[in-house]
Amino acid sequence: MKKIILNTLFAICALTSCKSEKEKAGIGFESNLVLADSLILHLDEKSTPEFNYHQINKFSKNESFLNLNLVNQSLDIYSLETGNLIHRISFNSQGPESITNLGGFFYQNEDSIFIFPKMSLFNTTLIDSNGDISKRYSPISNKNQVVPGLINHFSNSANPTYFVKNSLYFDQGILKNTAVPGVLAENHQLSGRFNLVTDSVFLFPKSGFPHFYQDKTFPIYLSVSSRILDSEMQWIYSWNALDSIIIFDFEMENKKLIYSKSKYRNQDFPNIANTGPSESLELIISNTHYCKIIQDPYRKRYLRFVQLGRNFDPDTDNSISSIFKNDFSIMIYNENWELQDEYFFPGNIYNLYHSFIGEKGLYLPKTNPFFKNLDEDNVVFDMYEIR
Amino acid sequence: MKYTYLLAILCLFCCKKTTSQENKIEKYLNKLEIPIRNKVLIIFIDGCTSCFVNHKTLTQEASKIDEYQIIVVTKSIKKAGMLLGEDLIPNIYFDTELLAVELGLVSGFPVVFSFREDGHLMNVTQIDYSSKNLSLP
Repeated sequence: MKKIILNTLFAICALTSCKSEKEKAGIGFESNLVLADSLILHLDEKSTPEFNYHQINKFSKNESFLNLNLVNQSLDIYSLETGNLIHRISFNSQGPESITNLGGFFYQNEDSIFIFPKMSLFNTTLIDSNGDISKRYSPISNKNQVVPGLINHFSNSANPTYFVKNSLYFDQGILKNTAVPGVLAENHQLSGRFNLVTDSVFLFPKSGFPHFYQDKTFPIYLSVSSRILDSEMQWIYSWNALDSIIIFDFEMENKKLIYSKSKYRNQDFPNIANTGPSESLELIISNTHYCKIIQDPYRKRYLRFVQLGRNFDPDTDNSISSIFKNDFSIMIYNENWELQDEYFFPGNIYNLYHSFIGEKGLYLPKTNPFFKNLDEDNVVFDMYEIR
Repeated sequence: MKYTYLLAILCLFCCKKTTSQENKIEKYLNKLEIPIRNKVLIIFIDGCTSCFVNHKTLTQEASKIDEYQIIVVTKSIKKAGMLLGEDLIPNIYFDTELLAVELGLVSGFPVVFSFREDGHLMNVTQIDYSSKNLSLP
């Protein structure tokens, strides 16, 4: 009898010790995120596994992955069914039809593709899928801006610029050092609308830093946000240092906050002024913070990515690229912003900034710079079903 | 983030300088078995993809000057091939282990290490891509 009790105790101990504190995706009886399949994206000799500027949309009736190829200066379109390149729009580097200084794009349909220059809206070009230029746009200078005439526009997968009703809705980067006391407290306007009919720019008055940031100083990387326009035409903001998600109506008049603290974030961000480059890097690497937010319009879910802090190693953590060694998690919300669960993913494998939602689920590419088995010609995207 | 911000962040981290910079570059060149010339240009092409066109122009410019050694830091064989094209460029070396990044010699924009005739480090210059004309020191 004593032996049976001891064996039972041993079995219980063995079972409980196997239970990891960090639950991995796909493990667990009622997981909302399950590894279901993989897609191989076949890259030709002109393409490299860099997908910072991408979009998912229909092309020739196929669900497609569109990627701005900055190495080849082209817009590459892949079928998500086969992983094959199905179309390429190459940009001329010289002459009257040239499109240079690429900094982003927005694909509306095969007749309307906006190509944005790097860090600006001036000389935004509208092309079709043959690469033919329809029009070039430049907004009229707004004298009330910090630097008149300059819109420090950026558009990437975490902060896409959208085309809605004759206007481009964009975000712009702050031009000041946010580690200096007082900068985050100023009245900034970080989101705006560029009306293509009147060539005018309107900056939304309520699009500045959240109240939480007002009395603080953070490195620039913690002072930014990811923002998307969801299928309900609401602006969803995930600020890197803010637990809550901020939701604005389309005209950015009214907002609401959704408390969304990661279960892995257990300490406040140090509020240190005037941090230098190495201190800033240490703060970013060692503190859990939020980053990209995306919507799954097919299953009515929102996914918030969280970069998990780790011990900073001054000998090997010498550049911002080291952030890709950090583990990360994904918080999944339903359409009513009720948290379904939060899932852990190890670092060094996936590149969360290259992730996207398709009809089948969440695609997470193995394009982390520290992933040892990266094949530059055949890139693996793990596909997770979202339930 | 973001990735336009990355450019700004990379600029910030590019400015990193330590007192042991001379020891680091010496150790680095020894490890890669690169003889010291007057000037060593280190280009990290995985750091700023949107700068690729600038990287290409800079490599071509530096390859025309005899006193330059060029080190391309990248894990991507494909990208290195696209950077250099089919033309053979003399005095070019590759750092595929990203040792220059690990040592903190380069992180974003390219860096030129200039040496005196006695082999000691004279100064370190970061190449500024924001100006219209790329200029090498």
